[in-house]
Amino acid sequence: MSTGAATQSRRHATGVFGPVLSRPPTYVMMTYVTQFETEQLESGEARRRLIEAETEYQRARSDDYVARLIRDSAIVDAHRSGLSSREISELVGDMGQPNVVRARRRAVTRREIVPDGLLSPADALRASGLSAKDFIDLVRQRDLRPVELAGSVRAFRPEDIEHLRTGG
Amino acid sequence: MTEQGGSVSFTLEEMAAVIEDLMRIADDLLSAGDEVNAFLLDQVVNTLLDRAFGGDS
Repeated sequence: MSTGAATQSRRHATGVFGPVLSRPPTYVMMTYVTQFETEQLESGEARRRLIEAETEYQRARSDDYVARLIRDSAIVDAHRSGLSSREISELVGDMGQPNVVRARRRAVTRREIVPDGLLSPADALRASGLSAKDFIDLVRQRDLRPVELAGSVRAFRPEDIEHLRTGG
Repeated sequence: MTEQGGSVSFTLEEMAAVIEDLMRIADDLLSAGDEVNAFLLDQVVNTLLDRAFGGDS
């Protein structure tokens, strides 16, 4: 299939579909993975794994970002296996959302500082107060560096996000 | 597209717009008390952001 970036670059170059851009657009490639390559859990097994992951997360408490990631992944698997959001909610003590809730509250009050603990990309974006485009640009230009965790997972240091918010 | 899947390219601007839409919906869900679905949307946003950051950030 030959379309995508090559075609669009040509369009921008000729200006047929809009004004000629001085800078070529940056593209993000998204690869769709079919079910052949993903593990489809039976709902009972997904439920068992979620309970196990939640227990470990509760034991480690929310300071353990990796335990949270494992629990978060188990929630997604449980949902994909067919568990309803209500059932998942009953199995999980808290949704690992305190960062999100705090971030939103912070965005409103603009007073509190980001608490200890790494932030997921979405939480970091919320807490930064930046647009998604500006946030992504900062990371791509290496002006904001994520922490690399096991399994190619990225997270952000709260102090770096706070630095963005205050413009320091 | 092959049987194993395929790739689609978005401009960074398109991706940023999708991310902001999803986060807005997640915020609405969370406000309505639907934490699970808000969380699931956040996981999608995390994946999109991670891809948008590039492979070597």
